[in-house]
Amino acid sequence: MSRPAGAQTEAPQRRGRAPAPSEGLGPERGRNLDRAALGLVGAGVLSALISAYLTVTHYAGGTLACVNAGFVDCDAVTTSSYSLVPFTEIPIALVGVLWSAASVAGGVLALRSDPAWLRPAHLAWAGAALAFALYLINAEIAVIGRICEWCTALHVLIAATFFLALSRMR
Amino acid sequence: MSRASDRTAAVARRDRRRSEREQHVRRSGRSGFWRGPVPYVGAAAIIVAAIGWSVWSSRAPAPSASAAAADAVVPSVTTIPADVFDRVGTGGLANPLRATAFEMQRGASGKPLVIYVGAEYCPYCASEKWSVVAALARFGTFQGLALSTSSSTDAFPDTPTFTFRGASYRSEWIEVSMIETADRQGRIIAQMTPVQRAAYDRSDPDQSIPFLSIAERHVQIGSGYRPEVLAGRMWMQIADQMRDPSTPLARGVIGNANWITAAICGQTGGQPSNVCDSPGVRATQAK
Repeated sequence: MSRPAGAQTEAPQRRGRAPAPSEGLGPERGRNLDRAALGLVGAGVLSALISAYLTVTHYAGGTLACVNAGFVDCDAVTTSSYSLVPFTEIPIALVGVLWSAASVAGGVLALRSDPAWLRPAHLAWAGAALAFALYLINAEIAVIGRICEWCTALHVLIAATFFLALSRMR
Repeated sequence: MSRASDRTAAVARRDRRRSEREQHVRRSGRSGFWRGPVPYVGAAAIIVAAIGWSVWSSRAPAPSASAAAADAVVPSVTTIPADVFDRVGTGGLANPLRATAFEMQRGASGKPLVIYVGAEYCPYCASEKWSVVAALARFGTFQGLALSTSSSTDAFPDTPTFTFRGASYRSEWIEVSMIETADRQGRIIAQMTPVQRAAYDRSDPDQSIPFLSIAERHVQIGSGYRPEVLAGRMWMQIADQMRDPSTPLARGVIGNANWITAAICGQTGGQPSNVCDSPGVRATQAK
């Protein structure tokens, strides 16, 4: 008739995890949110730097500091039509600079005032970039047969931005 | 003091907004979904599935060429109607050829010498050869042209193309010397002749391929258009699209061919006139 030992200990634990009415509003919750926003700023700054480097190299006609051997071959990727905005001669990296700048701005705004519309907007912004990154990854792997490490770094940062923005929806 | 109180007020305002948002979220019932693992797992699953699909599609078997396919493809590519060349013009391409200061190079017959240096494994050679074949077919005829694909392990893997190995070319206007230096696996299969080597060394200091010399007066290094327009297509599909000026493929392949044609016309004294005076070739001269 006695209750299992596990059940005796589990119930209090569950109760302990349940959010109190005011939880999420206190200092602990605030610090968590700030960390995610800080992460958004950091990821945005890094992706802006990488995008700017790719953009400058594109217009200057220089050579990227990257591997060009085997499956990793920046030249093959960055000289393909997938490196340009469709039907234009505008490098996608330039779009990356603008996207990153907006993401950084969103992160800073989150740290300062965090208006209600910001979280879904940032998630949508990151989601759109993630979808485009998946399209470019497909082009790299399935069409070009090569990947570029700078592009991959950007894709990882975009994914990180997406998950950070997602975490702020909680 | 006032700065400190301002800061305190700002923090209070921020906390109030958060409080309101949290209450709104809780009231709207969204919190259960957003707090659970579903969004994370779902997003991660989509990312993994998309990348997995890309990897899976990249492993499609290389297209296999047959003599029967060559019998259909080669006549199609070597008899592109003149109006297709005319309608495409430059295809929006900038001139992919560079003028040199060298004297005109002539072959043993005294005709302007066109040299092509490439390799079967090379994907950029693969794309370039579609234009080279289409352009040269306007001045003469190929024999023994076979189908091939670029390397399966290089960029733009298995790009359908031709091989010049074992092929020959005759023309009233020009002489053509073409070589595939390596096979699909990158194994050396031929050495350049002294004439090819001299032109290659003079005009291509980086020693890259494909290399195309129009009597050494114009050279093209690399593909004149981007090879990805050929991706996912078989030879006959490429040959068919080359005849449709509205396609990006035709603009790339035929636009490049028009530039090559114009450079050759510059060395043949504008002969044959039906080719060199055509609107497609003249379109390049206007650039």
